[in-house]
Amino acid sequence: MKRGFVVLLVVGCVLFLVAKRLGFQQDIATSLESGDRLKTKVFSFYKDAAYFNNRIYVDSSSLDVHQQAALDKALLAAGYAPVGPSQEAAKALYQLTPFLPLATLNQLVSQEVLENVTLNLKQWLLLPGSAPLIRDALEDPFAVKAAVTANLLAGKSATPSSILSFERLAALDYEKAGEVYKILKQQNVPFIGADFFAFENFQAVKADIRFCVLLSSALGLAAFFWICRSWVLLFFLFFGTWVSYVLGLGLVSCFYSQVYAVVLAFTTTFLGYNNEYLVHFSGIPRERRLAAALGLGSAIGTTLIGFLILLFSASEIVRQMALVSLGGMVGFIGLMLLYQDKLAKVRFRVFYFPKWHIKPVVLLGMFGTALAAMFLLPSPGFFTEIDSFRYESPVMKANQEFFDRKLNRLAPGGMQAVKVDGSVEETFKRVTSKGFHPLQLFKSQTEQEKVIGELASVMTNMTPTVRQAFNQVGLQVPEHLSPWIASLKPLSPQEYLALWRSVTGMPWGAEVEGQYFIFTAGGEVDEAIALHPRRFYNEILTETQTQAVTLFLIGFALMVAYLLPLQRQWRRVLYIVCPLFCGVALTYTVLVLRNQPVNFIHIVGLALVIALALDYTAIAISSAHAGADEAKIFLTGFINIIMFGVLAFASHPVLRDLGLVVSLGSSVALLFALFVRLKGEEA
Amino acid sequence: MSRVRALVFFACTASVALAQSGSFKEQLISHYRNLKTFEADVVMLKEAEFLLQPLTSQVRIIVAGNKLIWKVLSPSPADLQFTTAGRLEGDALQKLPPEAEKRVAALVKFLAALLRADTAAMEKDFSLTFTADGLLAEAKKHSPLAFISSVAVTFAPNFDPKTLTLVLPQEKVLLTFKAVRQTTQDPP
Repeated sequence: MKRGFVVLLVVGCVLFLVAKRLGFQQDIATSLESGDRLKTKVFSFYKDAAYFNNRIYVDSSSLDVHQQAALDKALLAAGYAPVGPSQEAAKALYQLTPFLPLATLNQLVSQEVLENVTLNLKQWLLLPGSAPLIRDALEDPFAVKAAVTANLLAGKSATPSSILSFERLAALDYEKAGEVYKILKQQNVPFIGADFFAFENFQAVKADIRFCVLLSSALGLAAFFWICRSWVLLFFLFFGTWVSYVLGLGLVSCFYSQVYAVVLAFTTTFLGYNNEYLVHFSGIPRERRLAAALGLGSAIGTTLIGFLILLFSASEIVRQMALVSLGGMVGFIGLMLLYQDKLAKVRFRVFYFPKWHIKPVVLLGMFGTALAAMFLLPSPGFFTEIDSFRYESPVMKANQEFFDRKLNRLAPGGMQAVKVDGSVEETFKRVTSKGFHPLQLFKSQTEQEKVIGELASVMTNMTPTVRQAFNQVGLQVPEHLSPWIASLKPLSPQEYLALWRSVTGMPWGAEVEGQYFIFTAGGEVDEAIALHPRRFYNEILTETQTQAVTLFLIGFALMVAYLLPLQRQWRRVLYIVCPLFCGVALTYTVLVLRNQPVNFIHIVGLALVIALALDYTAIAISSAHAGADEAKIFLTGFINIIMFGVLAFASHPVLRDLGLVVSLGSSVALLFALFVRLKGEEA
Repeated sequence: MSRVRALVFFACTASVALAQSGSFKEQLISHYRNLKTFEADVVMLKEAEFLLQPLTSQVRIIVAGNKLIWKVLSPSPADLQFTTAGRLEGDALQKLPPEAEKRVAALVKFLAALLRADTAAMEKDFSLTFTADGLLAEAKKHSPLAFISSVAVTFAPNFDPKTLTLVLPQEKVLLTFKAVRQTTQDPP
């Protein structure tokens, strides 16, 4: 036994070191995967290329010099750099020249414009620091680049001028991003960025972990000590929970490099799970171990099935929750098996609970009533929105509304990706684009060639005049005027859209997974992929929710299939699973009363009810409602309700919803196991 | 022992130099704190690759209230009025491209701050190093003035600016200040 303990400790320490390497992941949205891989890839591409990838936006219009200085300092410390026009963007502007109307070009390259330019140069030369201006004028004397901006791009850039955009160049540091967040909040200016949502969620989860751990541990331990009055059990509970925690996180670290903070917060419920195993393994003398195996086998088996089923979820968070729970469960049960003899000596307070003896037909009636209630009650809706998956303060909510209006070019409600079938131009013609799209200004290759030829010819004619005018103001003119004209060539729609991406900072068309997509705010197009984050995530979440219901039903079927040979009679199985259906009906009723739709978290919560609460009825019927076993059920159920009940007060919506559903389901199962008994199961 | 003496001597010299530079900064700030107007005639010498020959011009710089006036007296007179926030007023200068407008605004703001010894405002875009009789400003990496390599300013013992050297990758400008007039009264 000592050797086993040492091995467990060594393995625990190794896994602890492995788990310490895990990073934190806050962006819950990244945990979602659509069943349609291409859809996810296209959305991820657009999300990263268009707006929120490592970027933050600040409306600086109301900042004074001192506020700006304080903000700059914090931004610099947190590794954010301003996003400005790149060299690439300047080159791309020249490449778009063939798309200017020919008449505009003819007006530009004229004697009159040259006179104006010469006058400007004369003035600029008298200012200090005017070298960049002069250099631009020598490179592009007729300001063709400015004409491209005015004619093609006016009002189509990614951000209005009052909105500053910054890019994070280093890894996200929550403390430093938090400093920027606090300063911006103090300065009362609108700001937005995925980093700030991540920071808020980090803060919320951190506060929840502190609150939930403290309160649930204090309440749970008080209840535990009141009922079993054993310091030995308390030691096992704490030591075992540490082992669970380490093994659980170690198991997660074998598959993931980052753990979601919500999953970490979820591990605070381990004390609740473990107390269940601890209690059921305790107080069983050697000669009764075989008899107790039925109840323990039923309880552990159903829990295992519950967690295993969650491993098939489409959500990474749920898979991590399942992994951490499985690791935790194996670790704790392993410890219990090592100390079986010590645990056998523990005695529990015995409670006597009055019983309602019912026939199997009443059970069927209850089952039917639960189902009928769900059909008869008005539907609260069956969908999940991203808001129920993340914490959002009123400040960030207001900021999001502000930027939804300001940056509607970045995340327009109707933005979608349309797969190109045939040529880009033909596909675009089929889409009734609601807003602007660069393809509206696209010209055929012949038209482009005509403009390029005309421009080259006019410039050749004008060169001697330009040279003479510039020399007169004292400027040395380079050998080749406007060298960029020589590099102009007719562009394909794909090349053209790539240039638009460089100059506007957002993608209008791109190749993803070998297929070309046009990104446009169009009307309803068959098989178009929604690109607005809220719309996309809501769709995926609802899709994931439907999958979760299937998993829940499969889990339930597997559980029944597992229990039938073990319990041997269908009515005993019906007794075990009946509280699950009553719990589902109660949860549904509460959601109807709260006018809250049934969402993905509620389904996961019900899967946890299978894992946790059905143990009560399984043990009760397997032990023929023996006094000591009922005391154990009361103890474990009561503590579980405390643990998950506390989560119902968390600020993070995922934890809050989980807490509500599991505590409701556990309450029903506990009351059922303690006060309801099947007729004919007296012996 | 001689090494120890050399070290002590070096430490003392360094601390005296540090103390002097610290006091120069404080004196400079204190001198400019109460000034309400600044006016100077300046000779600007500009050297650049793109110029056929170095360009010399006569300029009068006036900072009063929230205005910075850049009055070119020769070779071709021009009267450019800016707010100290960098905005060009009137139509004396042709419309600048937006990017150039931002750069000019940032430069004017910096000049206005410099001629008021407002180190806090200057440090927004530059890292400042004070010398015995002046300061060296080097542009910060992400500042809108990052196109400027450095600005070096020397001051006379009475804290009037003597010279200002602006260095850009393609241009070097030397401003030599003459007939500096400073008042502590509000401008009319």
